[in-house]
Amino acid sequence: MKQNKIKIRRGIPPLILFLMATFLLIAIVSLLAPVLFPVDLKDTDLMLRLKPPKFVDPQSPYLFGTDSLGRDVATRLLYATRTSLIISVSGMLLAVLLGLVVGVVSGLGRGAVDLSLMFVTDAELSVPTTFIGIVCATMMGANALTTIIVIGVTGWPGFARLVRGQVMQIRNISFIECSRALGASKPRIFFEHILSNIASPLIVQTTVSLGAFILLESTLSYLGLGIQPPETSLGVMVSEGRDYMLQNWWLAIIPSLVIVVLLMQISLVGDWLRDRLDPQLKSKR
Amino acid sequence: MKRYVAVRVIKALLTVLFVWTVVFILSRVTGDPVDWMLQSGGDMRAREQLRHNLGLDLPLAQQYFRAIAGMLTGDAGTSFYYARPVSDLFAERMTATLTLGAVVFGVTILFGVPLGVFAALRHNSVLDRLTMGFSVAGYTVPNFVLGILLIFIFSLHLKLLPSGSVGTPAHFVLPVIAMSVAPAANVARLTRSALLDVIGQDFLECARAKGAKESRVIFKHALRNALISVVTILGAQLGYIIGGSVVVETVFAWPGIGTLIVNSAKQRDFPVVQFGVMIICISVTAINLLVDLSYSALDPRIRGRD
Repeated sequence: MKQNKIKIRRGIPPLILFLMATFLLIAIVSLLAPVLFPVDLKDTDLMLRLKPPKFVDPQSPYLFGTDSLGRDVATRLLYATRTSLIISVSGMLLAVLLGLVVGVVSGLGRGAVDLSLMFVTDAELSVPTTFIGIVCATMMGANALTTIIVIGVTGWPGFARLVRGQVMQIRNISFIECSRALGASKPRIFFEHILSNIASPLIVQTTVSLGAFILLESTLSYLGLGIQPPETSLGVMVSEGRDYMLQNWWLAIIPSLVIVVLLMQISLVGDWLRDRLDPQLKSKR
Repeated sequence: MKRYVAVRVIKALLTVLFVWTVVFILSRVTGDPVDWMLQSGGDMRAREQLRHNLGLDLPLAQQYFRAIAGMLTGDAGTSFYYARPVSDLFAERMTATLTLGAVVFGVTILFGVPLGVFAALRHNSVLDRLTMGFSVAGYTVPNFVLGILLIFIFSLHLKLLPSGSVGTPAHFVLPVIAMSVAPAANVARLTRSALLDVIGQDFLECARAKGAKESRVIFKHALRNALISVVTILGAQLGYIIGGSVVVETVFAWPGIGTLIVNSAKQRDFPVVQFGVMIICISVTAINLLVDLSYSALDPRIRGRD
């Protein structure tokens, strides 16, 4: 396992470096949006509605024009990306945490614990994620917190299975027996030995699923079951722009492209990471 | 073999029961449906009356079993919003969803499997690279984004195809494309890797050495052995297609159960959502069960085992 860490420093292909850099740039600029471009998302100005973007009318002061309520699309786009990223990453942290706990408990425990936890994971996989989102939005109301919970709840089984498999593989390896014999505490064994040994597959899984979580968030928001206006996320912007597509196509197309760009960056980096950190899978691709 | 089937069937039934229980508990624990219905308040007597009419004043256990009995007899309660039996609402929209789903699944198989096979046979060729590129597009372009792009290009600009609703075969084209690109891409990628695993093996050389024709080697020997993985993949895509149908139906205003479920969720009309989710859960579980059972039909090695 240690060798993998050395491998990763051996050089990153320029394309992957570019994707990582652009993703970081988007993430940082959008996270800093309230500092860089402080606006109130509720402020509307009907006199300025549906102004053209710069690429249609070079005289326009608005880079991407304004929306149907006269708000600057470029600024909203940053706020939307920010919301989408914050929600997806929070949901992801929740999913990883739940998955880690369940996976370790189920991997170390035997019999009934393991069996029932795996049954729950299986059961959850039998309902497509979008539907779990729909049920939660119906029962708990559509808002940011519900979306985070939905991501956590739909995301954890994947992590739990992965962690469980890894833990089962390494739990009887002698170095863990050894440190137990030396009197290491359980948390110490967990953090020092188990966690460090399942880190690489966990990193791969986290990266790959971040894309799925962004997709879930934007889908729910697009359906009107996630973030609610006047707050905005990428899915909300696509859905708002949809009605103006005949004249002002950019309102829906620009946020759509941002979603595609984010997903592409994440999935290509994730694929590369998988090839790097998990050489067993490489031959299959 | 019988034991295997029995265990799988019981597990499937338990799964459905478990999901139902979770949905039931969620719907009772997270809030009072009466509050959602009477958002402006309503006086106490009206609330109690409504509670009684909905059966919400009964003990939880009784509500739970009544709901299960209702589900089994096809009585899934009344929609808050439409004020009509939930089962009627679903019955009249089922055909639209099933036809769309069937066409999408057909397209997924017809494009996905051959594409994967050719990509594997011409490993590292231009076609192979294109297939892999297509599969990246499959999981990086969300279906609602694809739907909107298609409407933008083909309906609004080229004015070739209708952007929504149903009626003629032309109405199918855009929703079917929007829904099948991702599953077809998945199927192509996974079929390719399943076949690549088989192609390197010795028994194909053996078949060739016996003088079998190349087409026979590929179809009879290689493809048959890759078939188990391909069936698993196709089964998994069905679940994916069902999940995608909600979104794509909404984009194209398709009058199926997907649009019904999304609109009901917005109205917090939980009897409809509850029933919808159970239909989905039962279909996905049934598909998974069939996929598992089909292994033994496809693979004699599994058939022999108990």
